[in-house]
Amino acid sequence: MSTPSPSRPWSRRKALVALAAATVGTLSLAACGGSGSTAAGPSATVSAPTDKVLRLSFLQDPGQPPDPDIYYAGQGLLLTMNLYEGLLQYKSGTATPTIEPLLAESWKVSKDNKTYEFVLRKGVLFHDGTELRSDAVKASFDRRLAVNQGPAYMVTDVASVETKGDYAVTITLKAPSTIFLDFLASPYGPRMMSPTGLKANAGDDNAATYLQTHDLGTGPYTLTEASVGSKYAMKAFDKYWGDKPYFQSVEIPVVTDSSNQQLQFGKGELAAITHDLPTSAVASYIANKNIKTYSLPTLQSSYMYINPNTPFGKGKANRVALQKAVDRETIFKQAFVGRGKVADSIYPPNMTDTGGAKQDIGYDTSVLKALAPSLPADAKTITIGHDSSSPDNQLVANLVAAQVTALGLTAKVQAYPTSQIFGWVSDVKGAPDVLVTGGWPDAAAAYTWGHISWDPDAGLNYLHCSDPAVTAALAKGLATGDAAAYNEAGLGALGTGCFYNLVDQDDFVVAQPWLTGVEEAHVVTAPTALLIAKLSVG
Amino acid sequence: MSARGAVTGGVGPAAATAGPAAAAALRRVTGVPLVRLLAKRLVAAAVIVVALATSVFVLQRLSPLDPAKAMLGPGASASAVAQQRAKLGLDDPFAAQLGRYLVGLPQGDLGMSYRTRRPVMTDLGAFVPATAELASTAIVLALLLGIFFAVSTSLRWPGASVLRGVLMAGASAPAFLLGIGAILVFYKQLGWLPASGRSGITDLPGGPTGLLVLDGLLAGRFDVVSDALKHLVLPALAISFGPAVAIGRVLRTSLSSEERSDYARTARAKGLTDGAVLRRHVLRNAVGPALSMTGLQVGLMFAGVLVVEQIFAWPGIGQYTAQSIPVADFPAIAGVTLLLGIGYVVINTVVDILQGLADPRITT
Repeated sequence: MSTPSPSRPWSRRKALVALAAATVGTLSLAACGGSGSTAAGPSATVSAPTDKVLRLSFLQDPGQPPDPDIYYAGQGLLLTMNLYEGLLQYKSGTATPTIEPLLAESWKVSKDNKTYEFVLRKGVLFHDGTELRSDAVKASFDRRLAVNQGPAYMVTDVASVETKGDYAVTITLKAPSTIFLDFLASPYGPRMMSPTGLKANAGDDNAATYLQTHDLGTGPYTLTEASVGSKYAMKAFDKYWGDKPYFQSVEIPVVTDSSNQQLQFGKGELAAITHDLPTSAVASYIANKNIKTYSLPTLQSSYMYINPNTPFGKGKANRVALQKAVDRETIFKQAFVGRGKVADSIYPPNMTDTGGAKQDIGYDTSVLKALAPSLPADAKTITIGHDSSSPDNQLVANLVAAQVTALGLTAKVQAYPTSQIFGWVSDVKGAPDVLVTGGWPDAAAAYTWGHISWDPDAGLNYLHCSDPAVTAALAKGLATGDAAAYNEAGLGALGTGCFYNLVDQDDFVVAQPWLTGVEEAHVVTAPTALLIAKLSVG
Repeated sequence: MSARGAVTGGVGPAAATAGPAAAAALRRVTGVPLVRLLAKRLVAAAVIVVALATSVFVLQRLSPLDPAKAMLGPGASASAVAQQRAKLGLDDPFAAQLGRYLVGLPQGDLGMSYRTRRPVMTDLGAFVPATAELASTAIVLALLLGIFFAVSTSLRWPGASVLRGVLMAGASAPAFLLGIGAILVFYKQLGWLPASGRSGITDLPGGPTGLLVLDGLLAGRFDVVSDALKHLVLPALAISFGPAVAIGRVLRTSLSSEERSDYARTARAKGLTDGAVLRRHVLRNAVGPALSMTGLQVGLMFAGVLVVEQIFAWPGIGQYTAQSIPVADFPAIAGVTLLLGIGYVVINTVVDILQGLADPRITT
């Protein structure tokens, strides 16, 4: 038997009171602050930094190195677009995609759309000190082909790149193309890299290893840190040929949790959040008068794909009935209010030469409601899939499921990783009846979306739905640039019952009130990114 | 001879063999039994590595995910995807892929990450120190809290029941919830501690260990040490509560049992205080089960680490894994899986050795 301790223990009552007090205190600390200091914004105005350091953040790591011949995703454009420049660019600060000069001062296109002549800007230096000359164009195009990663397809139809003196270059294509200038202006298009730097750091992988942590561009910023999963940083290039940026350095830590990111923004530690804010936070930010919010035009849309290879989707009447039964207005209000609109066109918003391709389907639940009871048992239950990385699409999938369930179908919602969704392009087995996912084209030309979405075996034709008439119309559009052809292709795709553009999405950006130039820094073709040189304080 | 001296001479089973035990313990560390244990564990680790690698490759084979397509994106042509698959060896027979992987393992070749485009070994070298620093801090905190919990309740210290209540409440909440709560209180409201990342300092020492606290000490950079510790507190606490209670409860039960034993009663009869009996005799005999539980908890702790790393943007293997899975980065997933498997064997081996040292009656 143990000897009782001489010390007097706390009574159970005292202990419980103390524990309760501690719990209440902790909860009070966590809860207090009122609506103005929720995760969705600061309670008081935060002053501008005086150190000329811009602090942004990535939500998750960009995922691929900031090498413009490899990078082919979303948020890393914030790096590649500020480190590198191409011959052309889309004008920033406007919803209308407008191609304008960048490293090329001027250009001429042959009548057959096969030969493109460029005159390069003089006095441009790469970050390694090499001057931009025509040999850099050839070296950059050659490297893109040699690396042969995602964006390489944009230059596979280039037959030759000929230098004509130091500042002129002629690019000849294998076949006529009306969208080649769009490729050059695309945020994923060929960027100019220092030929000296490429040669010196070639290694055995065309400098791919070197460019994981360095850059060889001409942009207003140079890469100073690329710690995967942790932090990226850039500093202003003091010999930049254009207007000198206000911010002398940019720090972009990787924050893996959106709530944490919002808290840091609320405390003024981040100048802005440029992407991927959850729907719940958007409304709070819009209501918060202590910060600035921006809904900036993009080419993004949230799409619904209906699988023609499942018991439900194999009947075109079923697919069309489902299209009609989806209440897009409700989806917009519940998932995208303040950052987009119900989609008018089967094409993503703001694309050029689409000819309209209006989605005049109308909302009508009666067709599906009448159809549902007569469906065979294996067609009455459908799976609605969504990209597991997107909370927005999950919400949309849930809303669609609720809507069709009310009409007599049994719907279940399932998340799929991005790589699995891409995998259906090779093998559609196992794909859901309906897929809700978002996306944007690589460039503003109508063909860049139509081809990749509706042509057989195309990269975004996840559920294997195509129509020879649509393919023919797209080919005609590519050769002629005829908007009527793209309109025909779009309406044809819509008519298959496989594709439906639900909502046109904007980039929703929140920024501290002192950050200026956000709208001017945004490019319609480059979601989630900003041209940092256009940002300032005020 | 004073009572104290008499008791110091040994009354407990472990203490009774204190002299020979020390020699036995030393022999265990340097002699044949330890070598045998390590050899056994090395073989176990090899078997586990092969089993895990095979499992990951089977899963890859069965998976509908297409890494080549995920790497190249939607714009890639079919020929580019085919070329990429060939480059990655994905079209090779299963046995060839597995064989190539297993042959590369002893040379540290874990393949190339499809996502980061770097060798997986390089990635692990970058991410593992962060996780190791977080996990080791968490386990130290868990041990301290667990021992304090057990001893304070065993000796009925004032406030012990409050501590028990706090720990039990903390342990009953999942680690991610604790993490979020800690951020709200200590970052958002009080502003005492940072909420994300490992450090806010830009010019960190470049090594040699990758453990910021240690590297800061080695470089004489106390600003780094202080900053790194501040960043460690919240995520480590969030992870440590569950293991602390598990360890503490086992230790407390064990202490209670030992305190009722004959040798403890004898010690107290000879005039030793409760604290002295506990410190000199009971604790050592009671620590075995707690060490076993610690080994188990360290393994389980990694599950908590992986989640907490996401909340605190901690650049460790949890974050690395979380971002590798959606893009079917099998080499990265396999690398982390093997690392965790080997880590589990190593931790349990260390626990076995520590148990042997703490209580020579336990054979390895």
